[in-house]
Amino acid sequence: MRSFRLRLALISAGISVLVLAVFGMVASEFLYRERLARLDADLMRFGYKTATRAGANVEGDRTERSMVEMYGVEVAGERFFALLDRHGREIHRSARWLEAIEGNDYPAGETELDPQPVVPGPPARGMRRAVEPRFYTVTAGGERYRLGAFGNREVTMVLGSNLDRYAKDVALIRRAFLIALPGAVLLIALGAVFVARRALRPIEVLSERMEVISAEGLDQRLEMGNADVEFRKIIKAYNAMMARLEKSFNQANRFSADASHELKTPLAVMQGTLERALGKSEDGSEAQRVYSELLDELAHQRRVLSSLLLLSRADAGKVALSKERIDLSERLETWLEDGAMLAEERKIRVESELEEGIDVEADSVMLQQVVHNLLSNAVKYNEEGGRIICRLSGSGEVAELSVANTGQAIKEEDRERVFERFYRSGDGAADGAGLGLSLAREIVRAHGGELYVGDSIDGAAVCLVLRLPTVL
Amino acid sequence: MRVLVVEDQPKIAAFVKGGLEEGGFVVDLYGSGEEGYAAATTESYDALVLDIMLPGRDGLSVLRGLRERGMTLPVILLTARAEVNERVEGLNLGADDYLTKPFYVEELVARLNALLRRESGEGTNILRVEDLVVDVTNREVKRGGLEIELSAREFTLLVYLMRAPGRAYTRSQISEHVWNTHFDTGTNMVDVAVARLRKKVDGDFEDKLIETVRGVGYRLKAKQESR
Repeated sequence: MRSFRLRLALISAGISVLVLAVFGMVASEFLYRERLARLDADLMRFGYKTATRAGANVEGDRTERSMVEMYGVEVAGERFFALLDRHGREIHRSARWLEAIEGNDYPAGETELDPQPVVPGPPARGMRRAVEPRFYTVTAGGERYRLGAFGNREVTMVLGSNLDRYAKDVALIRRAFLIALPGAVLLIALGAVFVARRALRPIEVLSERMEVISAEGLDQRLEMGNADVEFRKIIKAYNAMMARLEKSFNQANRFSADASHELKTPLAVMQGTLERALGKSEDGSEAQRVYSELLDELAHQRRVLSSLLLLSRADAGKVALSKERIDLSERLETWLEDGAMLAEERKIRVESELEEGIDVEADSVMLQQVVHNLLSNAVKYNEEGGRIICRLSGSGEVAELSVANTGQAIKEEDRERVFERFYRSGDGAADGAGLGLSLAREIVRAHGGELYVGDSIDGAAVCLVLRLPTVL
Repeated sequence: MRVLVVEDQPKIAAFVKGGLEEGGFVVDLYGSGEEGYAAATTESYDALVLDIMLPGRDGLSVLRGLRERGMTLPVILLTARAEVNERVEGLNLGADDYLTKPFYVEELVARLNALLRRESGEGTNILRVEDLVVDVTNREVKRGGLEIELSAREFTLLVYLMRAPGRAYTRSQISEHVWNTHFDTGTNMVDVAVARLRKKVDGDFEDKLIETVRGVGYRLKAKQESR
């Protein structure tokens, strides 16, 4: 399942990593450039002095001494230089010289002319005119070196320094950053999970409340409480939706209640009239037969109406029950008598195992209709001479009644369909309007129980299971 | 015999319902005047047990409504000791009897039986047709002096038919008043039950008392001499 929380955490971690990496790269690049500029400027200090003063008769040893003078012993130890004449021939090479840079090929290395240090203003009077300095970065022996070429028309000085060692703090910072990055990412990801959870918490609370509300009924509303402004909108919208639903539900409900009363009353009046007429009609007369036919038809209409009314009430979650505490075990004994009577007609044997003393809170009239329906189905869809197994057991808070018969097993895909309204099984055998099981299920649900097709027991393939909460 | 009980206090309701069921009645129970009135006008009952103090529409108003519609079913009022005026008003409105709370449920059953007995013109709680004798109070059945064992349902069925010998009942009437069926069952329960009852009551006797009325249903044989 897609988790919004996980996605949120991953996205925020990803963004953080990207930002950190870019920031690290940019920062170290700037730092590196700044170092380079400083080194170039540092090289320039000595190079410029040479370029403005040295002539063709320049002395290497004196130049070395003056370099130590300028940089101090420590830094001078890091520097090296070569002096070339106007034809590019080497006049002097300092004691420390980079072996890897051979002969005159120093400018042949990788050049990096940017950034160029600022050249000091024009030399004082009497000094030589310096040529534009040039800088190169060369790689030798796996390390990088920065070389600067300074000079005038007669002498050129190539002054160098180890770049990597000079900028070693930049490398250090880079390494530290790379090491710290995974840890930081992990921390950020955890933080993101936490934040996502915190952010989604109000939604979770809301959805929990909504679940409770839809179970309790349409007249419930979400409380605004001290909800944040973002959630107030959701709550408002939800409450408005519930209000609309409730309104249309109540209208529909009132309509079906009114309609059924309006329909039932005339039927009852007709029934009363017909009953009186039947009582007075002559024995064996045509009138007697007609009246009774009408009476039976009327009774059928009234029952269908009752069924439809109950179903519409069930849809509105308002099945009217007059519940009382009943001993289910005892009641079943009586109700089973009716079933056994029907079964006998078709030579069906009823085997019952009823655990004693199971009490439930139920409307006995309604529950009787359910059990009667289960039993009469078990007779109807059974084979001649078959068996019906009826078991009642109670475990803790649930009473379970199984009514099984040896008829044709219900197909797996039909297990739910048999509870559909106006369902008729394939072989055309139909009872009344095909409402029996759907009614039974709604009655059981109104009792807080469930009714479903279970697995076969003891060779009886068709098994309906009724579960009801017990009372102690 | 199908009885409607309208009583809002759950404890009293449960105890009345239980007692009546034990006495061989089938019972529908409602907790408010509106529901009770709706049921009384749309279903068919043999008697009504009506509490006076009800939430919403009170018992007297329900009673007045029923009588105004011309419904004559016997009504027993349940009243509190203090409700003297209401009791008088109820009887004037057409109630047949009343009981003051607290009462014994056996007394209610006895009074109901007495009312139904008067309805069918009997003098005692013992119903007779030819040599078939049914003691409603003690739930005993004898034919020609021999005791017959009946199940609770069979007894109720027999009493229902015996309240009005000679009157034919349709199958749906019987199923409503004896089984209290509210929905279609699609079974031939009534025929099966009557067949069994017949076997026990008429089995070895020359004179068959339970008659099939063709195209109608069943009835108990009419009494020879009518008073």
